[in-house]
Amino acid sequence: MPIASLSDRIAEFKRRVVELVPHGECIVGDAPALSSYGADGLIRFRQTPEVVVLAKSTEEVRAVVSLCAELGIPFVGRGSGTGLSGGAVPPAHGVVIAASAMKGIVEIDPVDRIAVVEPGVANLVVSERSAPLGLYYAPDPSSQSVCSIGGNVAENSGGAHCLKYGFTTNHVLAVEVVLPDGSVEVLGGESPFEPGLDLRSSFVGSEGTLGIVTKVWLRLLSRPEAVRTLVADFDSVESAGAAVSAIIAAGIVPAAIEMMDALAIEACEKAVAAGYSLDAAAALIVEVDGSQEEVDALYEEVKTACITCGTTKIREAADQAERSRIWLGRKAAFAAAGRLAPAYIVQDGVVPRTALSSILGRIQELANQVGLRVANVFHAGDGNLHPLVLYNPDSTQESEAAEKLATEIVELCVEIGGSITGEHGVGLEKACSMAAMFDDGDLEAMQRLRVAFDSQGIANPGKVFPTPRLCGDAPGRYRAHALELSGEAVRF
Amino acid sequence: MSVGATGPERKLIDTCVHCGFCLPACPTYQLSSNEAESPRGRIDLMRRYLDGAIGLDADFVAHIDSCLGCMACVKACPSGVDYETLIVEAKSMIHASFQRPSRQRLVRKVIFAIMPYPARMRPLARLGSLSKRLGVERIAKGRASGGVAATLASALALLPRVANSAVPARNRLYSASAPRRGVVGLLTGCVSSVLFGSTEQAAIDVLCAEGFDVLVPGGQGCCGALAEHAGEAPLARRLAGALVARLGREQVDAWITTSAGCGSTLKSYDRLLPGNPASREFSERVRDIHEFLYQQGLRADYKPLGMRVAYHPACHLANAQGIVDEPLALLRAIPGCEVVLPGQSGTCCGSAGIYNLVEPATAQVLGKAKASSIAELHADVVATGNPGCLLQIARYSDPGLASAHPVELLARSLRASTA
Ligand SMILES: Cc1cc2nc3c(=O)[nH]c(=O)nc-3n(C[C@H](O)[C@H](O)[C@H](O)COP(=O)(O)OP(=O)(O)OC[C@H]3O[C@@H](n4cnc5c(N)ncnc54)[C@H](O)[C@@H]3O)c2cc1C
Ligand code: SF4
Ligand code: SF4
Repeated sequence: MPIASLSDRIAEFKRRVVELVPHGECIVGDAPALSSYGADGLIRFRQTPEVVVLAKSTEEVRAVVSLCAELGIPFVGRGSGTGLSGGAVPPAHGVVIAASAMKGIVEIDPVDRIAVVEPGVANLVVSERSAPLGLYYAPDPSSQSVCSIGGNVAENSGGAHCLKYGFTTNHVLAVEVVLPDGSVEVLGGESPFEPGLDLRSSFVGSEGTLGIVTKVWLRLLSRPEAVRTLVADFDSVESAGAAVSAIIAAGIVPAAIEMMDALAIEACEKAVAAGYSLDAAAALIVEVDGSQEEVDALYEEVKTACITCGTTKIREAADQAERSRIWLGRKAAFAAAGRLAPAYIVQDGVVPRTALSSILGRIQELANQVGLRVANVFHAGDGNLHPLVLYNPDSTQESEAAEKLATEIVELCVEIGGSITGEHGVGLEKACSMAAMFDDGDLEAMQRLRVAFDSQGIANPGKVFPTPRLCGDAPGRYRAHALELSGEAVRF
Repeated sequence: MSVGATGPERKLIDTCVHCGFCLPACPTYQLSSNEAESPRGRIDLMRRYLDGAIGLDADFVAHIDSCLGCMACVKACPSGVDYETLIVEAKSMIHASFQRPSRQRLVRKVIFAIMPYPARMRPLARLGSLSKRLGVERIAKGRASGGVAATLASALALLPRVANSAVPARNRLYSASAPRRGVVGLLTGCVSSVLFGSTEQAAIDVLCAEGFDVLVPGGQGCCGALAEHAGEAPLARRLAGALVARLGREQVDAWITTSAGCGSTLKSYDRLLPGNPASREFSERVRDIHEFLYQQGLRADYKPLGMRVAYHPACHLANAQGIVDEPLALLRAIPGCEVVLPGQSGTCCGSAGIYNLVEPATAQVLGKAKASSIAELHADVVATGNPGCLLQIARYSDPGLASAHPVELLARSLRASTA
């Protein structure tokens, strides 16, 4: 550790960093711009960085990280800042290394179906650019038009279509990374199977705590020959939940099954007029894809399952335009909640699929107790739910009640055998809840892996792991649930 | 809502949930990759300013100034944030409370002492076409930003190579030349009335052929849009008030504008002159010409014009007023007219009111990009519903590419002989 005082080291950093970034940009003295890098998609957490570097190349990232290592200054990687767990919030007296200016597509290989991209490129741009070759990039977070591939790798992001196709980790063949000591490594390789320890997969989902991603090799898929999409309305959340179970029980793996409750339908409809029924208590969006024959058969089975479970209306997308409209509505859900209330908390939890409809009832009860409204959208096929807790930020009492409710909801997920996050990551927001899921031994094992990459603890410190400063001295201990002990439910 | 020195309204800011969906739509973010040059970032600056976390300093002003006001972010935002009001409020606050460096002040003073006043614009326009012939515009090159000389040079470079045709006579009622459907008034504006007489003439010809009497009152001044978009709220209010006073009593079914930039302000005078029933009543009658013709339906006999038209959707038409399909439908109503859109058609051309005069560097990058995406279309003419865009695109395009307001093409088709 250098011995100079922190403020001296920061001053020296500011002096030297500018020369290390000849092509990119260093934001050093511009206080308003620095302040705008204080938060990610979750505006409740904020910390203004000392410096922001808009790097243009791996070399620039390497030089800046090396300087951080030399002077012992913490840094955080940033893509588009859409993260919903405070993962990209800068550490105190830290540096933001933003990949937003590294947004090129290096190469698309149509034969091996690999795209080599810079980390700042938006997820959707990869699919748009591969479209002329009949290819696309499968993981589709709702934020796909904005969020970066680097951010997706860091969060192991998912999306509606991950039910059938898998999460980011299933589509990243290799990553070039700058490790916290300033060395550049490529983890993984172009073939799906690489011998030795799979370091690539520890990097995917590490939320920026192991280093900065500077290049990514992505697996592309061929566009399916046929796609059919339906929206099925239900007069209760329970019957919609039952339809999800019926579809899965029939052995069908649709490309996507999404569920929305009445409040979520109202918000989306206000935002994009996707043609959802405002009088439905719940709606499912189910999409099947594959060969024409297969799709037609699956479509009928899905339809039958919905009818059996009492759907009140089925609407099929007539063409690509209508399909896009249906998805646009669903993908706008979070931001559209802004139309229902001046503020909201997006929660992200996972429950066993069979518990879907019962948990909704429990959430409703909790919400009624404190007089708050909760809109629900789910990746129903994965049991991944996103309750949106609506509140008025002008009332301190309501804000506190909302935060408390949001925490109670994830704890409820753990209690019934689920998890504290399905895809938004732990970040700052849920670091304290980690102790609700993992015991000390688990957490220590993760720490050892982290320290192997980052001995100084300068890569995105304060995230993922509970710390006494963040969580108080006695983080709640994880207790196994009765279902788990009896072997009826498995933790994942 | 009133626009004044009090700054952006907290309530409007709070509708922004910081999701970032607007980032890909924003031209300045796409160029800079800098959060503070994005819609979300700018709204955050306003929020932080209201919180007292940051001050109204030169950096703050630079990030707000660099906003084009193109409203692409409004279209992209799922949360329905009223960014148009927010940015106008932020710019007005800067105007009222921030002391700009003297050079910037002078530049703005000169712009607003000339542009809103046709009598002062006219000699400049003549100088512009003269300077084109003499090659004076080269002065503009290599002077990306700076003082009055550079601004003047940029302004001259923008002006058309040939001073446009004469403006139609004022204080006249042009009679419908087809079965009468109503009476409309034509808003003549400032810059447009000096440089785009042919657009006005075309609007009159088409409206008359469609069965409308067209009143063209004289003594109309600037509508205040340029001033409002630049944050010069007091001037904008004065100009808007004068226009309403001049026209408020005229009995017309609708007020027609051919300028997208003016239309978005003309339709929301309530923002500038809150609580004034006359201005609200006036605003309610304002229609963009595309919007009006489309709503009424075309009845006249449009004859074939074999041409390929590149249509550029002006931001203040498509984003600020939501007029997207109407111009395309009108152009396609001309037999033999093939309409094509450039790639990235939703991106601003960099004209943006006085933006290309005060932020010439960004304006130039955007102007060149727009011109080259239009050039790729190999069109015979580029059409767009905003005078500023016509000038900006022409400036960066091959001199051989004709440009026109869509209504001019409609008028040309009316005049064409049946083949
Ligand atoms: C409206 C909305 C909808 C969303 N929907 C979904 C969804 O359906 N599924 C889903 O999974 N997520 C979703 N998200 C969350 C978010 O979009 C994802 O987590 C996304 O992957 C974040 O990408 P980003 O580029 O914005 O990353 P950021 O927010 O900038 O960063 C996220 C994390 O990644 C790290 N990071 C970013 N870039 C790098 C890099 N180059 N190297 C190392 N670390 C890096 C940061 O340090 C931080 O910890 C949604 C968010 C919003 C606002
Ligand atoms: S108005 Fe245009 S330039 Fe300004 S923030 Fe919105 S998209 Fe960006
Ligand atoms: S899209 Fe709308 S809500 Fe989201 S960050 Fe932009 S302005 Fe705010």
